[in-house]
Amino acid sequence: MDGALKMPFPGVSTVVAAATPLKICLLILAWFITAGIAHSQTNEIETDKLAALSFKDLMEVQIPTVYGASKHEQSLTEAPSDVTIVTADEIKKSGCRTLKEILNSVTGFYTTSDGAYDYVGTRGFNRPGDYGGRILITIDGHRMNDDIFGSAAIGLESLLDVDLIERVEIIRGPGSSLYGNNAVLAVINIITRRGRDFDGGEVSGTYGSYDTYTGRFSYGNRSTNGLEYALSGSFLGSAGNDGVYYPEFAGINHGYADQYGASRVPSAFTSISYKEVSLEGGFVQHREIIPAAYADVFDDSRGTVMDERAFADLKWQHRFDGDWELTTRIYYDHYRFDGDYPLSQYAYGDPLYPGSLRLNEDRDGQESLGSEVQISKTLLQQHRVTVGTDYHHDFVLDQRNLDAGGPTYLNAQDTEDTVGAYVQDEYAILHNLIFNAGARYDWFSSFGDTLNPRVALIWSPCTNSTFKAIYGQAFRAPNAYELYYVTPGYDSSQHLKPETIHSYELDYDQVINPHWKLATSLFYYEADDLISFGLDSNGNSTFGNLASATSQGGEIELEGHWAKGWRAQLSYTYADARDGATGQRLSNSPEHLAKLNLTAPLWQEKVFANFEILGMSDRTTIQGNEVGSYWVANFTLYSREIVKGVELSAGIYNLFGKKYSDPVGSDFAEESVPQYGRSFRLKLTCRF
Amino acid sequence: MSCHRRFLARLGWLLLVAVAARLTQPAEVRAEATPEYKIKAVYLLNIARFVKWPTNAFAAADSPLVVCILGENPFDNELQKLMSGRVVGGRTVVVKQEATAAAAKLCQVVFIPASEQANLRLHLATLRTAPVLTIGETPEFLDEGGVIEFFVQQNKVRFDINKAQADAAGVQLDSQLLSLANRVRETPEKRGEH
Repeated sequence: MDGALKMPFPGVSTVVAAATPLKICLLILAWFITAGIAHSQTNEIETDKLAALSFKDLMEVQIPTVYGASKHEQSLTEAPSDVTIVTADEIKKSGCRTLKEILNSVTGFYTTSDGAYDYVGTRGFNRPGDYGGRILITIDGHRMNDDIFGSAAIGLESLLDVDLIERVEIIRGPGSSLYGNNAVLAVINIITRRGRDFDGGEVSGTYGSYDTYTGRFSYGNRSTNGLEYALSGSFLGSAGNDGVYYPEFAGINHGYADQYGASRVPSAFTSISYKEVSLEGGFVQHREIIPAAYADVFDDSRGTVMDERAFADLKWQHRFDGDWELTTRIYYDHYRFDGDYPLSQYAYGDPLYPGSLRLNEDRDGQESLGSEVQISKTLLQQHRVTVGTDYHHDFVLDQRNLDAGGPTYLNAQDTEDTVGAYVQDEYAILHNLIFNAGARYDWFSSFGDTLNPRVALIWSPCTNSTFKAIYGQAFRAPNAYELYYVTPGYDSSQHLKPETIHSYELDYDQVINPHWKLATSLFYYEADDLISFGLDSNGNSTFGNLASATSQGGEIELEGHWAKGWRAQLSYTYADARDGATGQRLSNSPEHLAKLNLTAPLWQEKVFANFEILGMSDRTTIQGNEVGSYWVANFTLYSREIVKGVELSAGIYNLFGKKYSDPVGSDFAEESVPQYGRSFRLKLTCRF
Repeated sequence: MSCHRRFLARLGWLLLVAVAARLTQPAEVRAEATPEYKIKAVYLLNIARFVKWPTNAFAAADSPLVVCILGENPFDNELQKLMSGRVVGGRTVVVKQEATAAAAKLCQVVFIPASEQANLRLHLATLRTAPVLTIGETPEFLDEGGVIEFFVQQNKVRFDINKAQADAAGVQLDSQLLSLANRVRETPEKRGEH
């Protein structure tokens, strides 16, 4: 026991040893734990508050649940996965600006940035250059990963303004048995705020570092005839950060890039429902100057990326007599990517004219239609069976690469079809023992078929303890970029197979007392046929199913809640992820992650302070060099209802201005890119 | 540096001891009811307000209204906290936990949690003739002769009522309560027989 406990600690202390603020923070935590601020417990559901409701209102109170783990609502303890829920309230109190920041606070998750995009990883996997396709993100069940790169957008290019989030469900482990492609490491389902959650209008504005300002207007309501709607539009503009130092480019503008990350991001989202029919749709267009990414010319503001994502999803849900439920939906997806990269002329073999530049352009587009039918029925009282099928058709899947006013290197126009069918049975063997088994079959026109099962045994020996044993298989299909992006020096890689992962997981959750909750898990992952960039027999670069990897480790999370909004969360993750062939640690895979999050009510239940520390041990780059460990602290003050209908928040991010770098993919000249320093944001929201 | 390390190590131990002390504090070791049971606890209070018991259900005019949990208590402290001492229908509420149905015969409300599923038929057979409002949460509860059955539909707690059994037990349910029920069974026939 002693040895097992001691092992991870030296690593953690080296992550944070140099930090005096850490001591302060540990002291605060010690005080939290020992000071006995034990009032009656708080949770969102309080019997005293419920008792004040009328009987009719009481009947409308919902039990907190997760939707995404089984594609129907169920309690967290019954889900066949280790689930974390982040609520709108927590997001406000911790001052999260993007989905990236929300995920960064979640036990076991970490995000990295290459200066253009952000990538989320967990359980040892976040390989640079993979575009984050091993995590599936859905908005109210609608798949958001695009079909060109398979990316899960979590940064500014993410479609949903975080203010529109009701809750985020983070469902760890393999989800391909229900969702198919991309649901390898986790499924992140975002539940949006509905009309009734707005109940009127809302205006919000922020101002922050790098001349970043945002504005949002939302309106939502539910009328007595059953019509419910929410409409929202947002805009973000940023002048960019010229304070990030690139030592590799010290010779150009002293290593600083002007307008680094300057962006313009309009977005819109709406949901409308009437009785059993609902329509939901959204749009985002993200333009950003990337003077330090994907190009060999530094500090040139012509280096830009543009992502455009839109969707519409029409759903009909009906409950038939005899307890069976039908859900059908049809949807449309749109994705466009424009990349402009200033390249020096000699990059394609003419070193005599290093001064002349050309602007190389990527122009990619995806248009898709799809449908899904799902039936769920309770059988023989102990079984809940869910069967479903979906069809997805990319009628446009274009990738072009050309020089502005010059030759075209790539003009690939493809289409793709995907058909999936899944079944899941939740069998309540005893009242406290559930067996959950499911499998999904997928057929892709690009490579063929794949079958992915998941089984879970969920045992609650008493109301406070839950054990889960989960085995699952999941896959990531080769994306259009990996399949069809063939320019000079690249080879076609249309023989690609999907990556598969086999995972074994044991979870143990314990409610210790009214205030403390403990969640632990152990995992072992085996990944085969990882799609990697390498050389083929002709000496050309190509994608192949070249690598394998294993990852093993554990997560432990301690969470405390007290009256008036006191909250403390401490978590630690150990992950040992290694390449199957070389035994070397995977790149961009920290062995240790440590997180601390404290919320304190400062005045009544109206002003809150939130303090957060995120620590990560060292990582390696794709060349095998080390990127140092780091920790960052964030501090947010949040107030509500001091003036009726007004919310104010002020946050400082990377409070101590920690300098650190993240490893990046092979399409960068450098191995790692430096990250933003200290920044701030002020926010005002008014409801009317 | 080594001094620095030592300080951190001591701090770490302090923290561990503090955590251990905090976690083992006996006064606090009581589990929190899940949100579902918090909601169900408040349902019990609300339902009791709409029920009239025959006078023979009570030993004396000033006897308390006894709410019992048969078997394992899924509410933890919540039901006790919520209902004890409250006055419902002119009587002070007392919350009790009983191990046997025979003992529960003296209660006016008997909640039979899902954990008693295996003994459900026996329990209800014992309670059938007593002036007791039985409340359960397993799907066969009404078929076996229970009065009110909780179930969860779209995340919300709902209930069915077996009015025939309530009548048989002499327990009078207010029409308002009947109107809030999902389904009311008027005749003693079983669910599967029609």
